[in-house]
Order: sequence, then C-alpha cells, then structure tokens
Amino acid sequence: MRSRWRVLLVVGAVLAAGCSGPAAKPAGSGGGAAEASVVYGKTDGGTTFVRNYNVMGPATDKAPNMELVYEPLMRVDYGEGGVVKPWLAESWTFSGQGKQLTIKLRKDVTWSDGQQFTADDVVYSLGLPIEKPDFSIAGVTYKSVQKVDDSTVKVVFAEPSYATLNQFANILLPMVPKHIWSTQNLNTWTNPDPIGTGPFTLEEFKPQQITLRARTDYWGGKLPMTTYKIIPTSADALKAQLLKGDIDWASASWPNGEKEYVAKDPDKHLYQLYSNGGAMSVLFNTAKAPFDDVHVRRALALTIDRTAVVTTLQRPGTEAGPTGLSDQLFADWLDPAYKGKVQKVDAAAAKAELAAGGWTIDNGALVKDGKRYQPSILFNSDWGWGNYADILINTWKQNLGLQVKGAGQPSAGYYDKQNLGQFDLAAASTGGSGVYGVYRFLSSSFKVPIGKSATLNQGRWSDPTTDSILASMERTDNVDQLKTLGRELQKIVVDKVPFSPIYNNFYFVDINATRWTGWPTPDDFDHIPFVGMGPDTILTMLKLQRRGS
Amino acid sequence: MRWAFLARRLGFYLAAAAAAIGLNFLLPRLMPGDPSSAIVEELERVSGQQVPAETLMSIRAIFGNPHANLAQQFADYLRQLSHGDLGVSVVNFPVPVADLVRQALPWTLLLVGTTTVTAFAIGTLLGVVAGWKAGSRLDAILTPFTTFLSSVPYFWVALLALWIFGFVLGWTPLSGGYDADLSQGFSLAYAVSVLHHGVLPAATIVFSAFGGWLLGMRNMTVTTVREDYVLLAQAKGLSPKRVMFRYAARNAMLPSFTGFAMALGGVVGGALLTEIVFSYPGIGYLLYESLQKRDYPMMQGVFLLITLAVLLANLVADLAYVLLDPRIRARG
Repeated sequence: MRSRWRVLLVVGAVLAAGCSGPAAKPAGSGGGAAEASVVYGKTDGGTTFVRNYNVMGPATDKAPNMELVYEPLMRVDYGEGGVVKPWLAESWTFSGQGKQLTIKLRKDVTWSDGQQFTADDVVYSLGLPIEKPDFSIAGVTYKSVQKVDDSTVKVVFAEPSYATLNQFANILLPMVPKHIWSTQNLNTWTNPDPIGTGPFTLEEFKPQQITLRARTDYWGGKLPMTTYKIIPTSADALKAQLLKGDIDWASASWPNGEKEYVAKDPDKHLYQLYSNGGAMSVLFNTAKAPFDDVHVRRALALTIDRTAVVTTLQRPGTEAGPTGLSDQLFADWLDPAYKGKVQKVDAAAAKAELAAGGWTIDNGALVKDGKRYQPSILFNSDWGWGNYADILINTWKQNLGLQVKGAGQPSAGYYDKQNLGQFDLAAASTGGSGVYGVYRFLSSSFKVPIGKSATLNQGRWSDPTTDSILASMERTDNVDQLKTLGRELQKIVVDKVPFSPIYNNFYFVDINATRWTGWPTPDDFDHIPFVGMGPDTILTMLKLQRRGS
Repeated sequence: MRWAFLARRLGFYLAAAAAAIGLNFLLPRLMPGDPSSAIVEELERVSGQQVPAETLMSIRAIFGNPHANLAQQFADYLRQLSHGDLGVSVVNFPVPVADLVRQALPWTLLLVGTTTVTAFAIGTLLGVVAGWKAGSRLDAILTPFTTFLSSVPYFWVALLALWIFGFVLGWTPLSGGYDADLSQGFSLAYAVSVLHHGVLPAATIVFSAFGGWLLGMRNMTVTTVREDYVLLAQAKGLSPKRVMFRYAARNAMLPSFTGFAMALGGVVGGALLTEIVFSYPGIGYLLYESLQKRDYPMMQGVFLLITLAVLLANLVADLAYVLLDPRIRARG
C-alpha cells in the first residue's frame, strides 16, 4: 500500500512540475524578426486534422485551407453582387450563344515545384469531374475541355451557360498539376505533400497544428508573412484565445461579441459581419394547400416579427428585405423600391389578405370551403432554431389567431423532410452567388412531386414567368439586361412570396489585430476576410501589414 | 469446475461479440438521414456559401442511396473485417478508418485511462473511509459534497476550469493536447508539454467522476460493516485497518468493481465533452463527427472498437471475480 502511495506522489509532483514548466507562450509570436506568422483558430474542424490533400476527392474533411495551396481559375466577387472575376484565368470570352467558352490563362504562374502552369494542367483538372463523375463532387455542366495553345483552353457546353460561369470559381474545382496527379491512383492517394499554384506550401503537418510556408515566387505578389498556422480549437476556448492574443484570425459567430470582445480594445479587437448574399427564410410548401394560395403566403409573410428575431439573435439591424437580396452585397442590383425596406408586422393587411382569399381562422386553424388546415413549421433543432420558431409562432398567433405547430428535427431528419416536401412551412437558408444564384432554386426544372427527394426547390415552386426569366438570364452576359431581369424576379418574390426572408446570413470574422493590420472592414472591402473562400482569403493575406512596420 | 465456468463465460462473450458486429452494421443504417445531406450541410458550413445545384446532384449520385442492397453491403463488411480492414472513411476519403483511429486512440487511452483509474482509486478509498464511520465528521462533509458534485454538469465544470486556470490565471494552455510548436517524439520537452496540456482536462474528469465511486463505495461499506463477519473480525482483535480493508472493503467493493470494469471498457469511447471543450485529440470527437456526418465506415470502426473493449473488460472482470469472490468459484 505504502509503495503505491509513493508512486502517486511522484506522479503528482511531475504533474505539478508540468504546470509551472513552460510559460504559456502565444503560438503566433514567431521567432524573431525573420519569422512572422498568422495564426488561424479553426473551430469547425474537430479536435484534430487529417493529412488529406486529395482535393478532387469526395471527402468533405480535407486538410483545412487547401485552397491556399490549390487555386481555382476564377473568383466570385461577393462585394459586387457575385460577379465572376479572373484568378488563374486572365480573361475569357463566350461564343456560340454561350455554348463555348475560351479561357486565357495567366502566363506567370508556376507550381510550387518550379514547373510552369499550362493549359495541359487545366485540361487535366477540368477533365477529372467528367472522367470520374463518381469521384469529384464539384458538379460541372460543361461537356468537354480542349487545349487551344499553351495558355488557352476551350470549354464546350450543351446549353447556353453564361449564368453558370461561377462553377470555375468553385473551390471544389481547383487546378492540380498534371505531371504529379496523372501518375497517382486517386482512389487511394492522400496527396500528403501537396504541390499547387497557391501562395503557400505545406511545411509541417501535425494533427493539432498545420504550418504553411509562404512562397517567395507566388504569382500574385509578395506575402507579408512567412508562415500561416492553423490550430484546432473549440468555440469557447477561441474566445479566450482571441482575448489573450494567441490567435490572429478566426471565423466563428460571437453573439455578444461587440460587448465581450470589441469593447475591450476597439482598435485591435475586430468582430466583423459580412453578408454572404443569403438569408434565413420561411419556405412555403407551394405544392399543397393552404400554401398553394398566394393570399395565405402573403398573410404569414406580413406577420413575421423580423426585428424580434434579430434582437434575440443579438444581431441588430440584420433584418432581411423582402427580396432576400442583402443591401450590402446587391446595392447595384436591387430594385430601388425594395432598398432598405423591411416588412414590419402588419396584422390589418394580413387579415385583409386572408379575407381576399376567402380564408377564415377558426380555433387556431385556417379554414376555407369547410376544410381546416393546421400548419406546422419545420426547423433544424441542431441549429438551435427553436427559439426563433417560437417567435414566429407567437406572432402568428397574436396577430392572426393562427396556431402553427413547431416541428423541430435534428439535421438529418430536417433535410429529409425538406427534400421530400413533407412540411408546410420550413425555416431554411436561401441564397447563392449573384441574383441568378439566389433565385435559381425557384426553377420548376428542380420541381419533383411530394414524396420524392428534391435537390433544390424544396418548396416546389412552379411558375412559368419565373422559369422564363431564369432562362433568359442563362442566355446572356449583358449586365444591364441581367439587372432588368433580376428586378423582374425580385418583383415575383415580393408579390408572389414563394419564400419570405427573415434575416440576412453572414460570414462571421474574428480578428485580433495586435500583430497584423490592414484588414478589410464591412464598410470598405473588395474581398471578404473569411478563411475558406480561397482567393478572398489570399487577397486578405496579401494586404496585411505587421503592426509597427 | 472452474474450467466449465470459464468456457461458459467465453462462449457467452463470443456470442455477444457476434451480435454486436451485426447490430454495429445495422444500427447506423437505421438512423434517419444519409451521408449526402450531411456532406451538403458540411460544405455549406465550411465555405459559408450555398452549394451549387450541380454539386448537389453529383453528391447525390455518389452517396445518394446508402440503403441499396443491404445484404451485399453486409457481406462486404464481413469480408473486410475478416482481413482486419475497417474500411475507408467517407468524409476523409481516401484515408483509412484504421489510420484515423490509430491517430486518436493513444490520446484517449492516456487521458481517459489514467483519469478513470485515478477517479476510481480516490473515490473508492474515500468511500471506504467515509462508510466505515458513517456519520463521522469526514462523512458529514464528503458525502453531501460529492452528492453536490455529481449533480453539477460536467461541461460546466470543464468550462469554468478552462476559464479560471487557462484564461484568468494562465496556468494551463487553452486548447490542444501538446505544444504544437515542439516536434513530436520522446523528448523531455514534449513529455512535459503533453502533461501540461493534459493536467486540466484530467483534473476536471477526476473531479467530476470520483464522487460517483465514493457514494457507491460508501453506501456499500455502510451495509457491510454491520455484517456478522466484520463484527467477528473485530472481536478477534484484528487491527481496525485490516478489518476495514480486508473484511469490509473487499466485500463492499464487488458492485464497484463491476462498474469499474465497465468504465475501463468505456475508456476507448473517449470523453466527448472533455475533448470538445479542451480540443483534445481523442477518439470521442472522432465518433461524434462520424455520427454527425453519417460516416458509416468510421462509425462502425469506432463502435466495434468500443464494443470489443467493453466485452473484453467484462470478461476480465468476470475472471477477476473468480479470484475475488469465493462464492462464484463454489457455485461454478
């Protein structure tokens, strides 16, 4: 017995020594002037990372920030309403009524092993999803890719494809080096030492810290940092790490961030929200009664207390406008009539709508022609959306006397029911890149009967006018024409209410600018400092400066 | 006699293992949801953008229908298992499940293993002492205190500890299992950093867990000390310590021992909350993630490991019982 105690004592002493051992040093302090690190705290990647740079594979948990190594041909400029801008591609032209796309590549790009980036690599990379459709989840619409010369490729589509140009900006469709990838069995290869065109190379991979080293020969310019470190952390630990300055950069929502973080040092503690072009909306199942009636949809849309919801979310001022297009991103595209407009609760107008449709409310149910409907609202309980569903339910009850039931489901069941159309109302996020991207899901080409799983258009919206406007948008790249068509779609969404936006969705960015300055701000940005967006992340890093230098 | 008993137990465990493998295959497939919607949700979360329609369609094409030919899947699964192959993780394709488990297991065994043993040792020892003199001052303090402890949610204790010791006092790191700036290996600095990172998670687990052992042991001891054989031992004039440990504790310990064996088996499952709060690189989070993302091969791999570990721990407990409790030997 005694000897066992002694062992315990020794262990205790060692543990105590461990406590007072190494002083907790900030991970990003680097080592002197030569080393300058940016430290990113990743909250959504689990507690460890897996060394898997097979960027084309169907895995969702690839090594984090692989988009700093492998780059796409184009980028989507969310700051300008989702316009597609050049990246590895220098320029492009459509021909044949939008069925052919000729892409000119930059000539100054090299792979990190020194080889030149050429049209052969692009043909190989773009060809992978076509040759291995069971492997790539990028999802492409083009039919073939050909090399024209060393820096030009031609992509051929079956349909006019002006509107789907953004598939070349998809981070799931990056450019990979043919001279390395074509020699590997992609079904077993984890690509442990990635070679890409991006600004970083992999220096060291540990399950709890990845160190990327900045290239000195990056085509996009000279990076101010020498290394970029990614460490896994939890949402709670992250707050303490940001306050302490262990972490420079993170992307996590911090509900009371203004007070708990920014107020402590407004100069260095930045908590930023960038609209991601989408919104959380109430989706109506328009394939069945009572929500196949526009009057019922309007009545419910008129009595959503959007302000109460964003107040509870602790994100004041983020109520969505009636179009679902945020003012921050779509200023140039929005119909001026809808700019800055938020629908307030209007019980009188809502009741008038119900009356116009011949509906009455009896004992909490919607009644017409002797039929009673008691709708329920589907929401994702894993998102903790119950509180917000309750706000909606209460407002509908107070203003209309309608008793909507809450139908919370965990993620899996939530998506199942939504896709199968087994809901009346659903709290769902809507959005996409560009006006076309946001509204595309309303196309009846995605409509399937209730009981069959839908990819998009879970609300089963079917409207010939919507379809024809969307088709026109696919057939042009004339910006003025696109704006006009976009406004026609906005009008449909506002008047016919296939869905009703509640609040805008955001990219959340947390920054501790003690070591690095030069971050974009939501008032003034041409790229969003959100890690995981590829080119935008790179642009952010190119413009950083060491504080005091 | 003893051998017949052992053979019977062994047969039982083999049957249990076979049933577990079958259930292990079937259960994940009976859960609602499928990998493709989990993947879509994940992509949306990581990129912060809506997934384009074409991407959605190709995800459906690849992972669309996991409910197809179940019999074929089961046959494949058995064939793989017989080769000791746990398959390839879906969300980490093409990384083998075995690699992921191998990366996480040592951390879990180290952290949860040591803390389970420590909590059991502390709890049981204090429980004997408290139960031996029920109503003494020690008992009057310890018992209500541990009742309180076991009703405090663990995550709260963990978060509070992280805040006080990690953030306010700065004694321990805020996350991770080691100082990632050091190179991994058998160096003193690395060992110290592992201990430094592990001490707070370990302390919170022990702090939250020892109360349960203490209460169980105390209550059993209270009833045991009134037994005739304890009285007899005291009447014989044996030293109090000898009576307490050899006569009372040895008998009172049997239920706790069963619990301990189960807990040891459960060690392999990791400590999910600990791993989340402290970003500890263990196996609990691996299981949690695989469940969330409907990664069947990974789920099955981890479940299988846990099941086998629990069965093994129980088998060992059964065998130890034979040594510990003469009545089983006699009956067997």
